[in-house]
Amino acid sequence: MDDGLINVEWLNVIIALGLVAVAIGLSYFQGFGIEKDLIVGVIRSVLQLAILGWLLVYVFNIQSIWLTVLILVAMGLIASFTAKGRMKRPYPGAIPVLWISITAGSFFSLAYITILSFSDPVALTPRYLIPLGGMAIGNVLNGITLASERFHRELKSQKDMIEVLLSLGADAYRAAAEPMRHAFTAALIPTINALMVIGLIQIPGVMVGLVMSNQDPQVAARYQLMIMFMLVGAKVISVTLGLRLSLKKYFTPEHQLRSELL
Amino acid sequence: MDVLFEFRSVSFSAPSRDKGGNSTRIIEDASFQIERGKFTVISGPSGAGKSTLLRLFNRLADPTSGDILLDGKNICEYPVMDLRRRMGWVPQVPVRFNGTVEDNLRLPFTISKAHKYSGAEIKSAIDELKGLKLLNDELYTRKADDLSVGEAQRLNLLRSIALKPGILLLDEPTSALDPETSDVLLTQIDRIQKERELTTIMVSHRPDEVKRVGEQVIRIKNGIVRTDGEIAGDLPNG
Repeated sequence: MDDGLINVEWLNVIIALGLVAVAIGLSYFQGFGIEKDLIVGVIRSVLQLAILGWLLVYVFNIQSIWLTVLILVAMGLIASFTAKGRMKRPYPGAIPVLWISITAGSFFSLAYITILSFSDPVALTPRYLIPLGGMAIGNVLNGITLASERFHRELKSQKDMIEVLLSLGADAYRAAAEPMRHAFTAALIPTINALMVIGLIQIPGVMVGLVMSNQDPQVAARYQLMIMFMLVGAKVISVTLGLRLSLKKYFTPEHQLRSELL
Repeated sequence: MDVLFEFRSVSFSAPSRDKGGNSTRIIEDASFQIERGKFTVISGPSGAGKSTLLRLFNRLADPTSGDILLDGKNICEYPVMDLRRRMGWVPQVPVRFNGTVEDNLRLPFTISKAHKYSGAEIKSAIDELKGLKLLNDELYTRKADDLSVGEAQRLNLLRSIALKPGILLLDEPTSALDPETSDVLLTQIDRIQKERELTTIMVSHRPDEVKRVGEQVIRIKNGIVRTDGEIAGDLPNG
């Protein structure tokens, strides 16, 4: 290929693995005790990415929009189970709430970016949709996990305050406004920080990929910006939706805080 | 007897915290009446279900079975937000919102979407609250966070009566206070109850408080509720 990208074989990957071996060795000799997690992590990442690589070749060949959507839906579902698994005390019915929120935010932003922003039929092929969708879903997963955890913690610690507000005639939404604001901020801070320092300290992944494959750095920068904006949009929509829907779980229709869930 | 509240075979079970777990029975088949304008104390050992019982009055929780009547009508028939605004609520540990003491007193007038007040109405209501002299004048412009616990609980008392409710619910309001501050607060609660002819329902586990302010006493032990008219001596165990 003349795109300047070095062809990487499994041997190259195995050599890179040497660094992980160093990490495992250090952890062992220092007694940090993360060797097992590292090994499991490496095995999982090798398997998952090898399968993904294989799957993408297959999907790119088929070029089916429905298969693409199916894969994205499945990714959203996996993300919902992962998010629920990370919650210390998941509320009943968490999976549908998480799935709707994660899917709505990431699908809307993905559609917006590919249809309106790229505005090119090529953007609606699996080669674009799957990596971009995966990024959106992964990013939203982190956001919604942070938000859910923080929301639960705030509701628990602010129980008295919430009940004073309810007793003054506030509805559930008003009574939980402060916990919701804290949860939203907690989820968005990493994204806002990333926007602030982007390109100053770290060159983000997509740009790295494009620059290494010999693309014009200015085009690469524009790609990166569009993706960042997609991630912001996806996260804000998903987190807002997730918080609003989970609010209905934490309160009864009669605006009573369900303390058994806290 | 002018009955304001009537509990008819009210039971309450706390839903299980764990999936598939059993719920815990907290109040068992309670039937009693609360007289209008009287100071009622709900007393009993800690963990007996006193606070849970209090929360049923303003529907911060609902009974698992049985009916609660307010002025002869089931409390579920009143719009829940309006029902709550008819009752002041003072929590165990004082709650302070961001801003000054005066901001905290303004909150009851701004929190509800359904009820709107003009600036002049709010100002006159707050002036009236200041007139009760529960807090020193210079405190009203201070940050609520800078108040002592005793002052903060008096702020909670003021905030709870800002909407001029006819009923005052207090959940162990002195539990976070030292004896001296408790005494001051209790005197003030008693004074406001008399001046405003409030039906006051207060949770307390302290016999001295029960004796001092309680015109009617509701005793609760292991979920069994008795009014003082019904019992002679102590409750049976279990």
